[in-house]
Amino acid sequence: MSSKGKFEPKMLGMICNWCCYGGADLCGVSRFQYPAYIKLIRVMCSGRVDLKHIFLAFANGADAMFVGGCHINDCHYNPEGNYDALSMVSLCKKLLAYIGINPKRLRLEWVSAGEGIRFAAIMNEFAKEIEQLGPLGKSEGIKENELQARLEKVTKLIPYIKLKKKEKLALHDPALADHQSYKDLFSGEEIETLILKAPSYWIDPEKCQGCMSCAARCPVDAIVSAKLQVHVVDQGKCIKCGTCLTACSSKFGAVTKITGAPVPPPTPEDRIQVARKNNKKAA
Amino acid sequence: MTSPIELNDLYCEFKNQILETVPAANLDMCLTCGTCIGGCPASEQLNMDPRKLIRMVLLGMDEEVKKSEWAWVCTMCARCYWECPMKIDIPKLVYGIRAGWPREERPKGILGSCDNHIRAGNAMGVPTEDFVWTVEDVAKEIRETDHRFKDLMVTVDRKGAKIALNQNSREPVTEPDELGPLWKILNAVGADWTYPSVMWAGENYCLFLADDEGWRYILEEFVYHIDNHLGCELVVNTECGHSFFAIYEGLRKFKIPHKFEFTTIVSLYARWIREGKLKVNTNWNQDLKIKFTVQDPCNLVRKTLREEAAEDLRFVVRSLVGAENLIDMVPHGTNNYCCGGGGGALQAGFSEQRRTYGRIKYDQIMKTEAKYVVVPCHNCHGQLEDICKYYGGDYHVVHIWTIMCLSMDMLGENERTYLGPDLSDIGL
Amino acid sequence: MYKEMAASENIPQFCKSRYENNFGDVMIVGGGISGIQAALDLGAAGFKVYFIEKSPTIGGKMAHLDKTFPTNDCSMCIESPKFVECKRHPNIELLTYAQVESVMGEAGDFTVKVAKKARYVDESKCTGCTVCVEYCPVMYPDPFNQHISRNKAIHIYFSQAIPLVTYIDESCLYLKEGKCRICEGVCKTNAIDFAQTPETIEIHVGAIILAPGIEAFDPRYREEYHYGEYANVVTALDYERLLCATGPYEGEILRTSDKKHPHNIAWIQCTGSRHQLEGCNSYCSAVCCTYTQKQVILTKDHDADAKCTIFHNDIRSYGKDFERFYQRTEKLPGIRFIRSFTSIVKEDPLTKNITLRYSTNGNGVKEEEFDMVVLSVGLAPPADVKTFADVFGIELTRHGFCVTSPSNPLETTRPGIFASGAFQGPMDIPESVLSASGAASLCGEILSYRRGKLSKPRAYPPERDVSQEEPRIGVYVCHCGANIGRIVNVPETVEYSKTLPNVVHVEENLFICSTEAAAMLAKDIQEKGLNRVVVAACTPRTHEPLFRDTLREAGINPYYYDMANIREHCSWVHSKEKEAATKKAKDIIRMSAARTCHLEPLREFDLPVHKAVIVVGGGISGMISALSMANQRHEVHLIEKEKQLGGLARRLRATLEGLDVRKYLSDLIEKVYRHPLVHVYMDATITEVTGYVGNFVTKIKSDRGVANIKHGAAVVATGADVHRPTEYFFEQDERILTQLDLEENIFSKEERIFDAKNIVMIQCIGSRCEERNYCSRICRSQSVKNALKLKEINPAMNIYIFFRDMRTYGIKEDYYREASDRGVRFIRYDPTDKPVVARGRLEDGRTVLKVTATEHLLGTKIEIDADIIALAAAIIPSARSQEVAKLFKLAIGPDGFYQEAHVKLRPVDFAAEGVYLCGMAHYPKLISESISQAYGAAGRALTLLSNDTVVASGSVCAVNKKMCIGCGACAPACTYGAVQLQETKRGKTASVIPVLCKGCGLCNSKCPTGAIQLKHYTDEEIASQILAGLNHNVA
Repeated sequence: MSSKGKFEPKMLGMICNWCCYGGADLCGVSRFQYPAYIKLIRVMCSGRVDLKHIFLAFANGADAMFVGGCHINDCHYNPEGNYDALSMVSLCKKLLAYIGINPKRLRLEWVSAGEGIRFAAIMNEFAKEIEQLGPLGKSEGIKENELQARLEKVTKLIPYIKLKKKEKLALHDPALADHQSYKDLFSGEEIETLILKAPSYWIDPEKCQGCMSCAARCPVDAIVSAKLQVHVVDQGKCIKCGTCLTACSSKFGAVTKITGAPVPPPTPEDRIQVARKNNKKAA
Repeated sequence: MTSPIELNDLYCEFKNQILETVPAANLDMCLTCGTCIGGCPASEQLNMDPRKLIRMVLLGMDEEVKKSEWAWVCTMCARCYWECPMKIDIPKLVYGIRAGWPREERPKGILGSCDNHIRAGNAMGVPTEDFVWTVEDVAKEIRETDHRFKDLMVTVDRKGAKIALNQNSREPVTEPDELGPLWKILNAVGADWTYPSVMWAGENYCLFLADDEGWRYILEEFVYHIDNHLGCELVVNTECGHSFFAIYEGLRKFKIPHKFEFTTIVSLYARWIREGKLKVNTNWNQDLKIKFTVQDPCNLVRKTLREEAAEDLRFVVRSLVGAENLIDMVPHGTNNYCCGGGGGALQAGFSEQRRTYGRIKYDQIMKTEAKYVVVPCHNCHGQLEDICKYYGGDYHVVHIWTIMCLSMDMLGENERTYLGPDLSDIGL
Repeated sequence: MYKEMAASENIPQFCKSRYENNFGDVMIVGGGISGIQAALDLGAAGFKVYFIEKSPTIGGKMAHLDKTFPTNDCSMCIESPKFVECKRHPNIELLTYAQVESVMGEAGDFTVKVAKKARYVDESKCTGCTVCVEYCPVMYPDPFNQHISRNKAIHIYFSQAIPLVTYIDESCLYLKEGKCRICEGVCKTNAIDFAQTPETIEIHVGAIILAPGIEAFDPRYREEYHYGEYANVVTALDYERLLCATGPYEGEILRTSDKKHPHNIAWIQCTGSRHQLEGCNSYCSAVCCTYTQKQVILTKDHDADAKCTIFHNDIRSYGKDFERFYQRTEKLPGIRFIRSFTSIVKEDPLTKNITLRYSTNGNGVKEEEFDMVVLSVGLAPPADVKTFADVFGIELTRHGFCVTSPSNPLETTRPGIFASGAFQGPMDIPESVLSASGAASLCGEILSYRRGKLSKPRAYPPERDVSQEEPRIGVYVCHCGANIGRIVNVPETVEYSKTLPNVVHVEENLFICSTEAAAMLAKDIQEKGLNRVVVAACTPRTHEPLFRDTLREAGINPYYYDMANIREHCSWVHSKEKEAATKKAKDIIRMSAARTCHLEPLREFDLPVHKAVIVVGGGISGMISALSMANQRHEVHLIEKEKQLGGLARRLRATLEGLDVRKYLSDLIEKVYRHPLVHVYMDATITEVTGYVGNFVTKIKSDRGVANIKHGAAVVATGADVHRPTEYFFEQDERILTQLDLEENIFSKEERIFDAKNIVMIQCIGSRCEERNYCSRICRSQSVKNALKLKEINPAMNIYIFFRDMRTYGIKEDYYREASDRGVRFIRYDPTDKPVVARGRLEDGRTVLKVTATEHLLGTKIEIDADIIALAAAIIPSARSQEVAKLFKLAIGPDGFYQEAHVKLRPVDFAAEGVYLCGMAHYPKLISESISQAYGAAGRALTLLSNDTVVASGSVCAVNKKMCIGCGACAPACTYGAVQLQETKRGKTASVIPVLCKGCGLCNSKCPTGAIQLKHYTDEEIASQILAGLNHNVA
C-alpha cells in the first residue's frame, strides 16, 4: 500500500526480448510514464512463458501478470512463439476463471519494438484496471487460505495439463490468429474435465514386486522405493505423467490409474515387505 | 485578385525586363520562405508584401505588378535584400516597377523635385544665384555676430579647393540658420572646401522617381563640374542618406569616370575627432545626462558602407554626448529598420501608409527613452519629426552638426530650432 | 616496395615481420561514427586498420548529440559501446590527436606520414584518474560542451572518451607562460610529459578511407543571426548539449544569460543552408528538419508546458519513418510549425528575450518575443577541408565535399582512396554508417589478396572455473550521467544492494560503460574474487555484449552476468516519481541478483561459415552487392524473379547528376554475367530456406531448374515498385503519365512531349497519405530532373510543379534552384486543397486538361490548360518483400519496407543474423544511395564471410535425461528441428542439437517435467526473478 493508502498492486510483466522489451525500452527513451509498481522480466520469446510461471506469481502475491510478445507473424523465431503464448494465456485464463480468479488479471499483448507509446498505454490501462479490481482474492471474494489452496491445486496439475493439452499448446494456426479463436481454444468443459478427471497413480501393494523399474523412470522421484519393498507413489510429488504405469511390467500390473475416486491410504509399515510370487513358489 | 490567374501563356515580360538590366537580381529563385516579410515594415501595406510581389512577377501578373502603388510605399531600404537567402534584389525590382510607371503618372511630389533638380540644380528649384546669395549672407552674419568666426570662409566654386561639399537645398531655401553649424565645424578643422555651383544640391529625387536618365544627367553634370572646373580631390556628401547613395551607386551603375574620391561627412567627422582636429567634448552633458539615440540611414549604412558607417556614426555621437548617454535602438546598424521616410516616401503622397510604416521606428525610439535622435539624413529627419508629432512622442530630432557645435560651444542662438528647452541655452 | 613483396611468395612472413612496424591494410582517417563503423567492419573482415583521428578521442559529432532521431535513442549510449569495441579490437590501431601530413604511393601501396600532436600526457602511463584535472588551475571554455561550460586546461575530452586519457590544451599556463606544472606534481604515474613534441610516423597501407565528417555551420558568418551577440540565440548543437545529461547544466535546459528555464522557444530552420548568401551554404543540410523535431519532442519531455515554435520553409521528412516523426511532433500540445522564415529583430536589454518578426500568411506580420531562439544550423565540411584534400590529393566539389564518381559515391578521384560518411555530402547517421561498410567492402575488393595476413585473433585470459564456488555477486549501479542519477537515489540503492544475499561488493559509477569503469570492473572481479556481476544501468539490448566481454577479459564466463535495466524501465518511465523509482530500482536489482545466483557458465559454439552467398534481387543494388562480394573471392548466387536483370532502373534513363542509366546498367549486367564467381538465376523463385547464419540452404526454382544452394549469408535486395495512381484520370487519358513514363517519353523523343506548351507535374501521388504514411523520397528529384531535361529541349515550355514540400535534400537543392532559375514554376498545394484536373475542349477543338489549383501565397485560383500531366507516383514495397521476409524470417516495418536491425547503427543488417539489406527494399532511394547501400551490405556480409566460423550463443536448450518422459511435447514446438525424439532402451527421450537451437525456449514451456531447459532462461532462473519481484528475498 502506498502512503496515500491507495491500493498498489504487485504486477510483473514477462516480455520477449525482440519486440516487447524493445517497445518498453523505447517507451523509456520517449519518457512515456507508467506506474512504478510494474516490473519486467526479460525472456527471449513470449512462447517461453510457462503456465508454471504465472501460477507461481499468483501464489506468491502477484495481483496481475502481463505477457508481451511480438505482433502475430512478426515473431523473431521461426516457430512463431507468440502463438504459443496465445495458447498458453488462453488456457491459463480459463484455469484462473475456473478457480474463481478474475482472468483479467492476466493480460497478453503484442507490442513491437517501435511502439513505445503503445507499451505505456497498455501498462497504464492495465494498471488502472487492476487498481480498480483490488488485491487478488479480495475482489473475487476468496479467503486467503482458500485462494492458496486453489492455486496450489492447479499448480500441481500443471504438468498433467501440459501433457494432456500438448497439441493445442503448440498450435500454430494463422487462420485462428485472432484472439477470439484462440480464446475459444479451450472449452469450459475441457477445463472441468482436466481438473476433475485428473487421475492419480497408485501402486497396489499386493501386486508390487519391488523391482524399482517404475521408480527409476519416474521423472520427479515421486516413488518411494527400495529393493523388495512395496513402492509407494508420493502423491505430493507426483505429476501424474503416467510414466510409472507404462514402466510397470504388464505381468505385474501393479500401477493403477485411479480417476474420480480417492487414492487408497498408503500401505502400513509392517506390510511393506513384498509378497513375491516366485518367492512363494520357491518356499 | 479574385479572378483566376490563367497560366497558359506564361511569359514574364516584366521579370525578363528587370533581369536584362539587373541580371543578378535572381528573381526566379524565390523559395517563398518569407524572410523578406520579417524585416519589411512596408509588408501588408496596401495588402502587399515583397514575397507576394515576387510571386506575382513570377506568375506573369505584369499588369497588376506594374500598377501596384505599393512600389511607392516601399522605401527600397533593402532590408529584405540584406537577409534574403536567395539574394533576390527586391529593391531593384521595386525600382523597376517605379520606372515602369508613365513618368507623368508618378507621384507629383517626387516628379516635381526631380524636374527641378534637372532644371535648376536642386530639388527646390531655386536659382543658383539665390543659393550663392543666401550662403554669403548667412556667412556674413556669422562672421559679424561671433568674433570667433570672423574669418569664416564659405565659398562657391573656389577652384583648387581640396574638398567639394554638396548642400541639401532644404537649408538654404527654408532654414538658412541650419547652414552655419556645419561651416563652423569645417572652419574649426581648417578644411579647405567649397560648394560647387553646378548640381550643388545634396539630394537626388530622380533616384526615387526611378528616372535613370535624370539621375545620370544630374550626376554627370556634377562630376564634370568638379573634375573639370574645380579639380577637388575629395567630394564630401553632407549629412544626407539618399544623396550619398545616389552618388555612390550612380558612379558605379552608370560607370561614370571621375577623378575624385567620394565620402560622407560622417566619416570625416570621425576621422577628425580621432585625429584630434575636432576638439569635441562631453562635459556639457556630464551632469545633464541627456539621453541620445542614433538613427542609421539605410542608404548610408545597410546599402553602402555598412558597419563601417554605423561604427563611425556611433563613435562620433559617443564623443559628443558621452558613451553612457547613447542608447542604441534595437535593432540598429545594418539590421536597422527603415524609418519610412526614404525612397521619396515623404513626397510620394501615401502619408497614411508612410506613418504606419514609421510606427516600428517610432516604437523603437520610444523604447530607448532617449530625448534626442541624432540623424545624419534629411529624409529620416523629416520622417522622424513627423511620426513623433503624429504618434504624440516627445523626442527631438537633430543633425550631428547641431550637437557637435553644441559640444564645442559654438552653437549660435538661432541655430537651435531642433533642440528642446533643456538644451536651448546651453553654452550661450 | 610493398607491392613487390606482396606479389612474392613470402607475404605471410613478410607481413608478420612488419606487423609491429607500421604496416597495415587500411588507414581510416576520421574517428566519427562512419570511421568507427569502417574500422570495425574491416577489422572483423580480417584487415589490419590504422585509425587516425585529429581530436583527442574518437566519437565525432555523434558523441555531441543528446539523442538521435527518429527513435530518440540516446546517442552516446548507442555509440560508446563501439568506442570500446574499437579500443579492444586486436586489428585496430588507434591514433588520436593525430593528423595525416602526406600520402605517397598508389592503391595497394600507400606510404602515409602521420603527425601525432603532443598531448603532453604519456598515453601509456595515464590511468585516467583525473587527479591532475582537479588540481589544474586553468578554466577554459569546454569544446565538448560547445564552450558553454568550462573545463580545465588538462582534461579528458568526455567521460566515454577513447583513449580515456587526459590531454593538455593550449590554454595551459605552463605552455603559455612557462609556469605552474602542478599537474606534473600530482600525477602518481608520472604521465605528464611537457617534453613531448609532435611526432611523425610513417605508416604503410594498401587503401585509405576518408571520413572527416562535418562541422556545424557557424552562424557568426552572418550577422543577422546575432549568434555570439545575443546570449539566448543558440545553435542546435549548443541546444543538443543543453539537452544532454552530460551537458553544461546536467541535462537542464537553461539560458546562459540568467540560468532560467526557457519556456517559449523558437527554432529557425535552414540557418546557413539553402542560402545563396556569402558565408552560407546553398545546399540543403538534409538533417535539420528532423533533428529540430527531435529537439522539440525532447524539450517537451523536459518541460511539458514548453511552447515550441518552428519557423520553417519546406519540411523535409524524406527519410524512413520521418513523416510519422513529424506528425508526432506536430501533434504535441503547444507546438507551432510556422511556414515562414523570420527576422531576428532584437534582444531585450533587460530580460535578454529575443524578438522575432514573421509573416503569418493570412494573419498579418507579427512580432513575438521568445525566451530562446535555436538556430537550426546546417552541416558544413570541416574548416580545413581544403588542406585535407590537398594532403590526400583528391578533388573537392564547389561546396567543399568530396568529388566522387558519378557511378560510385564512395570512390574519390584518387584510386585506392574512398570517401565515407558526410564527406560525400550532408547525410544523417545511418547513411554515414552504411557508406562506411560500403567503403570497407571496396577496400576489401582491392586488398582481398592479403586479407587475414596481418590480422590477429582476440586473446582472452583462461577462464576461471567458479561453478563450485558460492555466489559472490558484484553490483554496479550506474548514474548514467544524470539519466538515472537525477531520478533514482543511487547511493540509497547502493546501500540497499549491500544487504542482498550473496552480494559482496557494490559500487556506483557515473558511466559504467566508460572504458575506465569497465577496467575497474574487471579489476574487481579479479581482486575481490567476484564470480557474478550485476550491472544496474540501461538496457541489455545495447550494452550486454560490452559487459559480457568485460567478464571474459577478467577471466570468468561471460554468462555470469545480468543487467538490471534501471534506466529505460525505471528512471525514464517514472521520471516524475523519484521515490517510487528508487524503490523500483532496488526491486529490479534484487531480481537481477536473485537470478544471478542461479546462472551457469555457458559455452558458445563456433559454427562453420559456408563461403558462398546469395543475393535476392537482380536490380542495381543486388548486382553491385553481388559483384563486390564476388570481387572478394566469394561465390555469389544472384536470384532474379524476372527474365532480365536491372529491376526498376530499367525504366530510368538518367540521374539528376547526369549518369546515363541505360549505359551504366548494361555495363553492370555485363560485368555480372562475365564474373566467374557470380551465378545468375533468372525467372527464379525461392521455395524454401532452412538453416541459420553461416549455414543456410535455399531451394530455388529457376530457368536452371531446381537447385539447393548452400550459403553462409544472404543479401536481400528485392527492390520496390511504383504505385499505379488511381486519381487524375490516370490510365483513362494517355496524356496523364507517371514521372517514369514521362522520362521514357522524353528519351524516346515523343513529339507530343516535345511540342507540349504546358506541362503540369503533381507531387505526392499516393505518398504522404493515410494509406502510405511516408514520403517516397525520390519524387522531387525525379520531377526536377525531368523538368530540367524538358527545359533543355524546349526552353519556351511552361512547366508547373505542384508540390506540398520541396524535398530536394542535400546537394540536390542545387538542381531545384537551377530549375527555378530556368523558369520552372513551383506551386505549393495543401493536401486539403489538391489541384483539380478536368477534361475540356478548347474553342479550336483541341481537348485539354484543365488544372485548377489555389496559389498558396496569393490566395487566388490559378488555371492551366495542360497538355501533359506527370504524376509523381509513390514508391511502394515490392510484393516480393513479404514472401522473402517469411522465408528468411525478416521483419517488415509499418510501411511494408524491411525493418533493419537498428535504425541508426545497423542500417543494412537484419535482426536475423547472416542476412543483409540494401536498395529500395529498405526504403525508396536514389540510384547513388542504393549503390552506396549495396556496397554497405556487401561490406557487412564480408564481416561474416571472411571468417571460417561464427560464434553462436551459448543460450540453447538441453535435456535432463533423467527427467525426460519422452512425451514428445517439445519436439513439435521446435521448427528448427533442434529437438529430436530418440528411441532408447528406456523408451523415447528428447535430445537437442545445440547448433540448431535458436534459444527461444518454446520447448521448455511445453515440457511437463521441466526436463528440457533453455540455458540462461531456466525455470529456476525465471522463478527466482518472479519471487524476487514479488518482494521475496531469495538467494
